[in-house]
Amino acid sequence: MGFSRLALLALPFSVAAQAQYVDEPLPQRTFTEAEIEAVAMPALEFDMASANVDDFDKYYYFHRDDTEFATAYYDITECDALASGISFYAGPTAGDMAANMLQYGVLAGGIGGAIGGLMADAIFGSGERRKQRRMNMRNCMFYKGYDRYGLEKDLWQEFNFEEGLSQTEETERENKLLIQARVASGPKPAQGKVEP
Amino acid sequence: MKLIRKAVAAVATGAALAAAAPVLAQSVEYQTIEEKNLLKGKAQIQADKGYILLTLPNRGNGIFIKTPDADDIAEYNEEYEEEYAKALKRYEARMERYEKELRIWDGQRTKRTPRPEKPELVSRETFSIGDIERRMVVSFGPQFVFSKDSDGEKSYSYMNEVEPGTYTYYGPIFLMPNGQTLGTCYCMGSVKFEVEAGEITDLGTFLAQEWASDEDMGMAMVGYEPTGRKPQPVEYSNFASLANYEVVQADLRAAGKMNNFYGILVGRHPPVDGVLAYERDRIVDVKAREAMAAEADAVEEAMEAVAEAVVAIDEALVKAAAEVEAEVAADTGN
Repeated sequence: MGFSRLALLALPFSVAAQAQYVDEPLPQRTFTEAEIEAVAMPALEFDMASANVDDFDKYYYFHRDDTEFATAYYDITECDALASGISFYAGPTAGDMAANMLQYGVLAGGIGGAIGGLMADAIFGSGERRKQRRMNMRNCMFYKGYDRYGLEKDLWQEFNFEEGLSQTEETERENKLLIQARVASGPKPAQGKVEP
Repeated sequence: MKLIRKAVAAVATGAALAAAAPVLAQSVEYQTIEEKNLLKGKAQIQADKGYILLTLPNRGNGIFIKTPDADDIAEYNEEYEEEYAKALKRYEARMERYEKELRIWDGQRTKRTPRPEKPELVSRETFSIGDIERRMVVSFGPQFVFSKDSDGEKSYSYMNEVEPGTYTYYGPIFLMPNGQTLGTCYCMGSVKFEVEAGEITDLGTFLAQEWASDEDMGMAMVGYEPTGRKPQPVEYSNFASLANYEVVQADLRAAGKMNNFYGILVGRHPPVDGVLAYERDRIVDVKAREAMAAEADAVEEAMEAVAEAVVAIDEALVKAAAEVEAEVAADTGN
């Protein structure tokens, strides 16, 4: 008898435990097994001995152990949006993020980065923009605990895009992000990781 | 400074490009305060305004974002409706023109022009007037210092008069007068603080990040190279010119993720002891966590007391039952 009364007292804790986090993650888009299977795993094998290791700053992919496809997709789309200046979090207050991006790309009208970025473009141009995007992806995925692995340019181009002064077309963007999520949540790479 | 000069030069030469940036409605009002103007009476500390004061070892710049209040949100929604109605009208006009052109095109036996393109649908799902936060920007620096000390230990203080409310540090970003930006947004975690009316909220030297260790810096930036930093405590100002005013130290709290609406470098604020921590990319409000831990301790104590009381009651009940039983036995025995 005593136990059930105590259990009732303890109930509010599970709710309160969330309060220490500033944000709740947005609801993740769900995928069926068939949908995940339909995303083709790209070729990742290459001869490390003849690869241009210096290029790994530009050509790479992310991977994290014990990560589900839906989580990897969420993480990659969040980082892609931040890196490109696309609105991802919605809501008038910082702690009140709404799920308006379940279907990635819906808020195409929210692209605002190109405006503020004019400044940087005037100084540095497209090359610097691409570099900034790479830095942003690396920073964001590093925070999320993903490891980075180098890749050959030809293989990389099959499922990645670079953005300078123009935006990548929406469908192509989504397809490539899906493949990146497949890689990030796929088998652990046999090769060694590079610095994040 | 070199970068800033370069930026200014680039804006001057790229005037046509820069002018292409649309002027955004700015909802939040603010202005810089300089000590000399305060002393001359040209500027006043007003009872209905709030003030943010901060000090850096060099000239610097940054942006705060005010958390929108009910009025800000109402104003934003109103503008959205206005702009949406306009966009819808434009879309309808375009559709009409398109349908007319399509009829003509369909009627052509030999196609001399490409098929007219259907205008893109305007709907609430796709129409945006940009993030509200972008209208809540308060920037400081690098010019218009409140006070500078260029002898010995150099320091540059900045003060902004702002609307009272909650302000989040959006990062070390240089906002040009024409709206162009350079810098890093703390889009993936930062700090916020309250600014009360009639008070000067002092951030001290916090934004200089001299309190941060190599480990803290490494949490905030990929590829950070340790430099053997020796963390220094945050120092707060003590201006004689502000002696008659209420100067309070900023009470920092963890702040959540924000969009990179300027399309600049993405980063996050280094973790702050007792304020801001990270679990991967999840932002932990350390003050809330500590308050919850204290509350949990208190509840645990209360639960123990309740458990003891339950045991005592059970024992008393058992004892009472035994007494009743004994009495009944004694009665039937008689």
